[in-house]
Amino acid sequence: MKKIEIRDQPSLGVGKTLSLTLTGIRYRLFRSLVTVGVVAVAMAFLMNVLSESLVRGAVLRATTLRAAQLHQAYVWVTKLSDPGVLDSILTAMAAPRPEAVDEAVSMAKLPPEDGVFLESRCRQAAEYLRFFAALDYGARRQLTGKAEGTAIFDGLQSPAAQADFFGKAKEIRSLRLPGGADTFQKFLREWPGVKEKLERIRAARAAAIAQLQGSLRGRTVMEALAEADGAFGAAIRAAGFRFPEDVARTVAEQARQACDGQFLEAGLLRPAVRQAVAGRLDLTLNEVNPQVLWTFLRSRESAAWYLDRLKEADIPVAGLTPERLMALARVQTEEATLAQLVPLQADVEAGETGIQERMLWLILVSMVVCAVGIANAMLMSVTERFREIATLKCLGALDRTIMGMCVIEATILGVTGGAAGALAGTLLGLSRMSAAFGGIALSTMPIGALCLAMAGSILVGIALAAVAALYPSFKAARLAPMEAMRVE
Amino acid sequence: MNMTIAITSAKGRVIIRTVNLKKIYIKKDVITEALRGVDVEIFTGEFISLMGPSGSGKSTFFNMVGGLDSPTSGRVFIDEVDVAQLTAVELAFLRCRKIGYIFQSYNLIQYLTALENVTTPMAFAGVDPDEARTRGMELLTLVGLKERWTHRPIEMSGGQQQRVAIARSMANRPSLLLCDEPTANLDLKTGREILEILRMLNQERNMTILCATHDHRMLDICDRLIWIRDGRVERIARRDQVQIEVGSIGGEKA
Repeated sequence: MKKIEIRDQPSLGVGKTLSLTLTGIRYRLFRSLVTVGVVAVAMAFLMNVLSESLVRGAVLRATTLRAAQLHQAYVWVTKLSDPGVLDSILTAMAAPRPEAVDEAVSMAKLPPEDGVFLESRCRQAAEYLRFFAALDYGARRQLTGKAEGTAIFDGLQSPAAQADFFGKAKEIRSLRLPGGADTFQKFLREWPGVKEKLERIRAARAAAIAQLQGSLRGRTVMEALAEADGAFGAAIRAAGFRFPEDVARTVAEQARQACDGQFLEAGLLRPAVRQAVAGRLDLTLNEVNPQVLWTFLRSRESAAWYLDRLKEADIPVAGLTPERLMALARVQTEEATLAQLVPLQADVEAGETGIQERMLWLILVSMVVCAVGIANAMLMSVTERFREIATLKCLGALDRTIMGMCVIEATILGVTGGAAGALAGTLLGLSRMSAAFGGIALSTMPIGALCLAMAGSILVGIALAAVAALYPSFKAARLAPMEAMRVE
Repeated sequence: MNMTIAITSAKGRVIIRTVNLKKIYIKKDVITEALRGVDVEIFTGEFISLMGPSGSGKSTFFNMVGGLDSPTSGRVFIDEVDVAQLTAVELAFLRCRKIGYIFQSYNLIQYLTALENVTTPMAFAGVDPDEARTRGMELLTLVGLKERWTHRPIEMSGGQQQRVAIARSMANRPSLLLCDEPTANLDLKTGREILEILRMLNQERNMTILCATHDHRMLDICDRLIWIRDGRVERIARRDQVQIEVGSIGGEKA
């Protein structure tokens, strides 16, 4: 008989390891499916939270934008009828729209270099105002008394008031003035100058509005804005406002819609028309309101019918077609939808991900749940195979072969579970969101961000599964075979 | 130990030698001395029965010799190679090619077919798949399971599973076969068949076999018997010496 000589054992090839692992997974299909299921559920939870917050964020951004566009006519009505107060001018100047500053500076005939100065100081002032507004009531009361808005800066002009303010500010430990106390002191020194310039802007704006009064010729501002793309637009520009052509067109169109809308709603005031609508819709007279009317007018047939009723009541409907009525109805219903979406603001904060603190916390918790679930599933799937691992070691498997098998299995289960869970979670989130917000959730869907989040969470799932499987398999592989068998 | 020296076998050279082998298990302050110093020599071509009551340290000794567990102190030499000196990779080599294991509970890989179970050690040894297949079928034929090579362990009886396990243990033509109570889970008839296969391997292929057992039929086929009690070698005897005494000893031991 030949003498025993000991050499190094060769490693099992990757292909063989893979096929051995796959055979194992196939044999334990049910057990593997349960593991995949746990991973998938954990991942679905995570992806559901993530996708919902992403969609919410996108919807909110879209609606905010859309609402701003829809209300441009109203914004201009306000702008052209009221010069505003110091605070509103300051806020407008601090907004990231350079044309507002340009307009104000040129209107008040200030030197152009004041534009840069005013813009930066207004931003600073706006930041301080936000800071004071965010303070709790007690702290605000202590620091600034009853003053609100820019009056806070006015109240802090005297050295005594400043000393008092900074003394109290030091006492409140959690208080952190933006930029520090020195910056605020410097700002307070500059404030009278800024205020004086803002006052001049306000006066100039009041003068411009007075100048426009002549062009109104007895109409309301909204009615006049209906020809914002014509003579009235020129008058606005002549008064010194920045009123570019494209804005003028949008504003004019919206103003016309608003006027027509008011006109059509006013039709309901005629008893004959109201009676007819109530009869047609099978409602009592009291139940007929503009909201009902707009929903009714969405079809061409009913729009034509309503126009006929108006004609019968001797209301001049020249220039109005059923198509026009339908378009108006669409705009009106969209505005109603947008109004419903406003409460969203409480859930979502503007920002890249649109994820607020509460959401972040939820995501964090779901990550932990996900990690624990996956780790548990993988731990179980390895420890219940200690005997098999021990047997394989008796047959000459190397530690690294055993580890390889476990990691390959974990990765396969992680990929399958992660992908299935991420997909299910996203679909669930999307369907929930589209049920809540309608088509706007799908049309504004941030596909790129969603895909990124999915890929990210699948990767996290795989990594978690692999790490969770790594430790017990390392332990099993390093144990002497009989010790591993004894673990059971 | 004069007994060991006195009763040397006429067969080949020493293949297993243990020197003062001790194993102590410590679990939560409870110290169990499984082996308290065992010195044994086994020669090539021998068929050894390892006998002793439960808890005598039989299985522990078996595991030490097979390189499946590490001794607390003392040494195991397999063909004068100190097992404790081997690296993990060399140990894998030793388990893969030099020793075949047969367990009481068969320990087949549940998800592999009979043939795949037999060829797995060959895959670990780097044998060409085609050759492994041929050799695997030869071994299955040898144990009489040629027809059942596609069956998985759950589709086979205990005796058939143990036969697959024997074929698997022979996969890489080992020098030594270690059997841990191979017949304990089987009925009398199947147990006899398994013993017959082992005897055939020993006689026809000159395989060295170390067999831990309670089965007294083993007396008929083994060359020497080693009794272990309380972690020590109680007695070593050749078969012809035992035959006469079996009545008295059997009554006490059974």
